[in-house]
Amino acid sequence: MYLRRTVKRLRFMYNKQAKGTKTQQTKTKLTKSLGFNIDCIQKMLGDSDDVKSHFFSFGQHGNLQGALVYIDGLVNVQTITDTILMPLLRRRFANGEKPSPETLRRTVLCSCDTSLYDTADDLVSGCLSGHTAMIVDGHASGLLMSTKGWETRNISEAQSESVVRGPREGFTEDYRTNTSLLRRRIKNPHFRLEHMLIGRQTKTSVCIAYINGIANEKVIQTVKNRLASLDIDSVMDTGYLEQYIEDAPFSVFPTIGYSEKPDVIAGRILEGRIAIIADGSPFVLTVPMLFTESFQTSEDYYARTIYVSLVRMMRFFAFFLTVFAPAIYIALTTFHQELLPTTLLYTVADAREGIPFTSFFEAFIMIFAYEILREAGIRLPRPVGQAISIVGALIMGDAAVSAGIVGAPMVITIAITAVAGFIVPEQNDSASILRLIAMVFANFFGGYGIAMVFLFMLMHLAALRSFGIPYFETVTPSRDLEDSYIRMPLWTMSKRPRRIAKGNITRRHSVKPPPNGKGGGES
Amino acid sequence: MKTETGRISSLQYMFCIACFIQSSALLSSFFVPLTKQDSWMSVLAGILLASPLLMIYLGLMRRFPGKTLIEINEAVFGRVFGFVVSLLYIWFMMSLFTLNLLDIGQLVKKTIMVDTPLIALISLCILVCAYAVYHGIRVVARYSFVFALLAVFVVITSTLFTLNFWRFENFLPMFDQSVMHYVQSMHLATTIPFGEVVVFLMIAPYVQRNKKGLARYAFGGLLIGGMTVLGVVVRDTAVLGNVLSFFSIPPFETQRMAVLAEGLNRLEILYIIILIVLLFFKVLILYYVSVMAVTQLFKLGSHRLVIPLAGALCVAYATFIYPSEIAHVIAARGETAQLWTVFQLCLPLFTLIVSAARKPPKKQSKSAEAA
Amino acid sequence: MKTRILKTAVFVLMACVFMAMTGCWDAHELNRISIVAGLGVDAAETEDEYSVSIQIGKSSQKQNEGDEKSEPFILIEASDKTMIMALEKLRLKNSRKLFFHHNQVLVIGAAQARKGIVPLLDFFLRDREMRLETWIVVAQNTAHELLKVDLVQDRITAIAIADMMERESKNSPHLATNLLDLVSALMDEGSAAAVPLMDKSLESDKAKVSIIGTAIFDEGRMVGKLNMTETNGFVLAKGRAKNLLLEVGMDEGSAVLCFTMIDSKANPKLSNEKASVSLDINAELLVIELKGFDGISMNDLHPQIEMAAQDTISGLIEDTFKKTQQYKADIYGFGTAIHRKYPREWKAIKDNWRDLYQDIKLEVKTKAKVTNTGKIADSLNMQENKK
Repeated sequence: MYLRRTVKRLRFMYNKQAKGTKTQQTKTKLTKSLGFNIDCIQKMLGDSDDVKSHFFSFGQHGNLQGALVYIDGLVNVQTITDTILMPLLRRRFANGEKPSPETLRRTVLCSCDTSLYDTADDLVSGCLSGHTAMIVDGHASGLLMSTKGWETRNISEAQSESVVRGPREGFTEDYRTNTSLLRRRIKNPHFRLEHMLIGRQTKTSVCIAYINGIANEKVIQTVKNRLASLDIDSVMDTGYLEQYIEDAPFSVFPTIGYSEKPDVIAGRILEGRIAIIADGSPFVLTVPMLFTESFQTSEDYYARTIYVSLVRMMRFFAFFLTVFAPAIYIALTTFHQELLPTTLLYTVADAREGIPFTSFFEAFIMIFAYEILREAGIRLPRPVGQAISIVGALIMGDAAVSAGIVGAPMVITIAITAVAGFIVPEQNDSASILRLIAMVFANFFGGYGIAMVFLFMLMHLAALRSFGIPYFETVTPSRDLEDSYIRMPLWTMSKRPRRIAKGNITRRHSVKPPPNGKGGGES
Repeated sequence: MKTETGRISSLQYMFCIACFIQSSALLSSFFVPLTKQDSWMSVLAGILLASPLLMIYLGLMRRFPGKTLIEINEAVFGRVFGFVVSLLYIWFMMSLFTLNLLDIGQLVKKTIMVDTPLIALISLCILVCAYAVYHGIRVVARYSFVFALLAVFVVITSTLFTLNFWRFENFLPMFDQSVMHYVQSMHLATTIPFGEVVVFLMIAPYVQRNKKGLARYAFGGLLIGGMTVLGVVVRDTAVLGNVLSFFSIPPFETQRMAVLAEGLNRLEILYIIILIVLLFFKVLILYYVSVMAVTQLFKLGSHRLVIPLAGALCVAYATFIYPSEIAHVIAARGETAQLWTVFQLCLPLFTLIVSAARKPPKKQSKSAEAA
Repeated sequence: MKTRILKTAVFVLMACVFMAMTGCWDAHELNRISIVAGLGVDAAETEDEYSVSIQIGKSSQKQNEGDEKSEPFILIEASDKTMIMALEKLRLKNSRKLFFHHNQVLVIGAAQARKGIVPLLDFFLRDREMRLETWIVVAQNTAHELLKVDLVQDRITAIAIADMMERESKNSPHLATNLLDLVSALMDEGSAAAVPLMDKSLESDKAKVSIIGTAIFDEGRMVGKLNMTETNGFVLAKGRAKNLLLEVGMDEGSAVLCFTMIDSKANPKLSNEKASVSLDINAELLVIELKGFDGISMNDLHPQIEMAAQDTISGLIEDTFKKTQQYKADIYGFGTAIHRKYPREWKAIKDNWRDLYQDIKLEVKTKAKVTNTGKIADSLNMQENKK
């Protein structure tokens, strides 16, 4: 029946447990013959000119053969020389000594990050990751030594999130740098990083970071299961991962959070969330995500209480404004003219004289123009981009009003909508879609339509779950209200958010304000 | 195959009841023409008379913890007769659902959207409700606290903004109407806003009980709702005076006169939108309760298929239940109240008596179970 | 997967068609409506017909296009037996839909007021678009003439009248009447309504509208008029007024006082179908202007002014009361007060309340306090002569 299939399709949206199968490939084992092994490896890697192999002899009279395979550009050649070749070639081996790679690794080589493998496939993947493979004649095993030395971007200011006060470091594309940035901030021995490789072609390093004892066990297990069952080609950015493991792919609202700044991620991990770091992406995901997170910035915690609380409330209001302002304007001027004060009504009516379109099309044209400008502003080259967006917006708006295509009040409304949208950047995409839906319903049903859209949004948010945690939790009165609409002083937030953190819930032990500064040095 | 697995807290239950009462009461036009300036007495009487009703419901809840109304009927009356009684209740709930749907449609149609056909307005409401009911009681009862608070906030602010129009002489003279009018008015006031709480017997099993039991939360909800209704009636009487019985929606007219500042003197549209939200909540609860009742009576595995069917049925029912709006108003003041009393007083009381007769109450163990 | 997408697409398409086909029923674009600012009702030449005029605001763009002499509003008129039929005729004369939600004022011509206003009020109460806060004004001649006045300061006459009413109502709620007050007074058995009376006046070739008094309505018909002084007397008797001026004349000079607060309490007494009302007036005044009083200091003058004010207030109230007794119109609401105090006796006497009203004895007890004399106490001539 159609209904049954609809039911199945709707079930797809929630609590999806993806089951994937992994194809197992047979691996090629190494043999004792050096030539064969190197041939094998080179055949796997092909004829690329950055695959380098270096044969060398060592031992007492140069009677031991060995070979190195590495990929130029991924390795730091000086490291190879210093840690592998120098000790090997300088060392005096005893007569008749035939060291195995295992012995060499422990006693001769100066590298501290080595591992032993016996299949060619592992050696090849190691080479592709910047390791150097070393094979010794007569042993069916090879060593992989870490010699990573590629160019990475320096740790610079995070582009997508700027703050006035607070750390400015941002994640880079290098996996190890990112994990180190987190480690430096959380010096807890219970802070765990669990590594996995995802993507058949890209074999991207992905890791799950959490604090053992604070994060929720069930959520950790769900994340691990979902990531482990992924059978995909590539992971270019954490955005890929987000779309594969999220709870409600068809919902307008994001259920997985992300950030580019280590202090934000560290703060969230400390609240009991789980971070997902992927190699090649400066954006780190956090799971589970609540709706209020989009309204919190890291700066909120570094500035003072009262001002920050006001700004928080303003953000909620700005989100409401950016979604509903065009719709409310359409509804007011088309359906409910009685709500406007009389003098304002005459002004707006004057502005609407001579405009051929209905309010809805006027708003739609303006919104469309705004979206074009926004997209173009991102794609334009830096020196030109800002000027053209400002000039374009101003001139287009002014010209449109003079030409009589749109009215001045409409331009103002859309301008406010646009600017308010940037206050809550994480919800900007969902806000755009909701805005359009609200406009359509306002056009057909006026204020009643807007009310219904708003109620539908509320119901949808109430039903949404992010990895088992209700999405809209802290917005309606519950136990964790101290950080949602307003931000209570830091010294009152003595417990971690109870929904997300299990286990060690206490952040600090007192709820007292800082001491009043009496005493000490005054006589 | 999912039946109700969600649970709501006792506080949410209390605010559900409060919001339920507040929403219908903000229209309050049923008993006002009868008692005119003494309508506030009817409201007080309504609250008092609804308390024994609530005691009956609580008694049933205590006797059968974890069972909804349908299951209670089956347990008390046996399969066949219980089925019949449950069918009657289902008819009651569906009628309530349809009538409230009509209420919200007609309110919107009369005040802000005059030309839109009623069925379009109702269908939109049903679609949003269906989505929420599909997700179960957790979503349905989620915003009860916010909505109840909103209603109280609206009443308080509108009172403040019309304060300069208040005339306390409008309450005099008292006891000017005939006694029959007072009796009728009290009956109406008990039945229509307060007595409909009987449907909450369907939601009781899904409340997370704490040691204090449900009684104080149920009465708390009744009081909050009742106080809001009282506030509205008192405000309208003080502002409108003898014109009170003239209009079909007195609170609306009062709100039209509220002046916030020099230019912002047309706030009734905000009031209407808040009223829409509150009525929506009431419709949502009734929709949920009807769907759950049908599911449980016919022992269906899940309520997902019932939702569109019940919705479509009630939309169709709404279009032909009364030939005109005037018939609706006349019926609401007359037969409807008497019919509802059967369901709100007679049937539950009968159920309670029969259950007491069939199984002599083991008070200790049962109350330990209920706690 | 494909069928799922297909079915979603079909569903969305059906929803779009449903909404698009039926259209947006209630939408009225702003440039498709005429915003009516004022409404006037006159008695037409034909018996039994109303002549309805409506004043619509013109948009300022169109105003600039026309020549300088054109009026900033449009006034159109039609007549028919009932209000709604007349409005129908007006609809046919206008290219846009008439929008009454912002109607500020209802002007009733004197002739129509004398004929009766209850039948025409039915439309205003029933229709959804009319508001209870619409101000009611009676024109000395015809409403059409009053609305036609082209004022320099305000674009639209009706809005100017509404602003005037708004300002007056801030001084006292009894100086301006809105629809709610009118209906309330008409619904009360035995009460009469008082509605401001306005007229058009010519001043150096420019026409103006001004308030000239109050019209008294009894049982829906205008039965009498009060001039401005008597209107003041009426307002003082009802209490709750401020910023009204009172001229007090004494032997040595005259003073103009201003009310900051006035409180009035009516105590009706009913015995053997004879009614008497004792009115307690409590007033606080300021001295605004003094004239004369040479050689007297404020300390001596103060109690004299208070006594004189009390007498003036009582006299004013009694004069107005006598005039309303002539018209047999109970605009003070004494009937309602008796109804509240003696509900059972009221039922017996309410039918001949009008006759009883003529025989009511009014006893006014005034207490006036002069609280402030402004920035100076003694005026120039007073201080001078004291030296």
